[in-house]
Amino acid sequence: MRVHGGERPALPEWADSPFGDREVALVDLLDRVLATGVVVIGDLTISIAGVDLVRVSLNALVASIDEDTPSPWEGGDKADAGQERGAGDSGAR
Amino acid sequence: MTHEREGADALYLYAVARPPAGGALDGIAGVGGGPVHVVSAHGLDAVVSPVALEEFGEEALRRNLEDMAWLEAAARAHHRVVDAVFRSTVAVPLRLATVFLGEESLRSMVGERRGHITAVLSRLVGRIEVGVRVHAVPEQRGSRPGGRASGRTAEPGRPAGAAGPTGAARPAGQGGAAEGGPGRSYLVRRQRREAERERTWATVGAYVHRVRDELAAMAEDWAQHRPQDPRLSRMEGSNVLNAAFLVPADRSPRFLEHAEHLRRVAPPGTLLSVSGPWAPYSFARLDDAAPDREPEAHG
Repeated sequence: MRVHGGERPALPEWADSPFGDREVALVDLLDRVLATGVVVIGDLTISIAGVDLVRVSLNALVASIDEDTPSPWEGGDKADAGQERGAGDSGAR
Repeated sequence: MTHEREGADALYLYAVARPPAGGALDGIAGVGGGPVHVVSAHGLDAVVSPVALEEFGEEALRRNLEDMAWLEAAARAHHRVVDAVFRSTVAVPLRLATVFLGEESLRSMVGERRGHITAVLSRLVGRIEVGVRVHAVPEQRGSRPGGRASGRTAEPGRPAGAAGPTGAARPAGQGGAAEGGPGRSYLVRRQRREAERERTWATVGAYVHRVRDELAAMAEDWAQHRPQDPRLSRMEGSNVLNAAFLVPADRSPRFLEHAEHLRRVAPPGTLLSVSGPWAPYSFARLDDAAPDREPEAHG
């Protein structure tokens, strides 16, 4: 891997590929834009400054995802436990 | 997200950068679709775009932040601008949704914090942020206890496992001295599985420490984010490491190579993934949220 020397931007080649082409994962993005970055009090954000932006937004986000998409583990444990006895019986033949 | 600009009566601040930040911004749309531009303030470039109060006022903002589609569009637009600036000069990214009523109040904020901002810029110049996360998928549920326990009812002629065919026939009192009854062997198997599970998690724990320590040693700084919610990451298993590393750009190929090596040697069921390069979001903290105390010593 070759690195551009001296010139700005001093980004390595891999900055453009493969990362550059790929869309940034929303979860990684929210980790950064909500939880990090400099916090200064703008004119309009004074009264929401004390609010935990991360929590408020992520709660909402999780809630809205729950509405749209069944969570991956739904129908897992309970259905399994119910079948366990029957499966054992048939397994013994 | 509204794209009309008539009501653009406030300024959304993305980043404060060392000049010139303007070159990379041509044709880039900000949150809400407004054109991104630079406001010069006390020798620094504040990167802004006009936004409407009806979208970014306090009330509206509270509502909008709970709207996932709005939040995603805003976060992506915010990132698009920060990323463009980051690729052309050193910049301090602001947290999402920092809004000013006009250039005057924006300039006075920059002026009050100029010393801090300049110090952070010096620390971040030529650095990139690399995200590294590790997910561990717990033990597969493949071998169900129910299936093995059926050995209890197996005929003596058919070996049902290590306990042997005699297990079922032997009276309980005698069995305790030797291999043990079926109940006991079940217990032994169960303990063995528990021990195995513990070993697995110990392996994962040791791996996570290794990843963190070895990458941190190659980085200038590192930060840990809270574990990601699987419903947001759409990743199976537990997020056992969610870290960000601050790496000098010229050392980043070596850093990335080592991350790739660590990815290859991950224990079974453990997945390491790398993201970036990011603008140094996770390291853009002003030492003090308060304005500079000192008078204009370095004017």
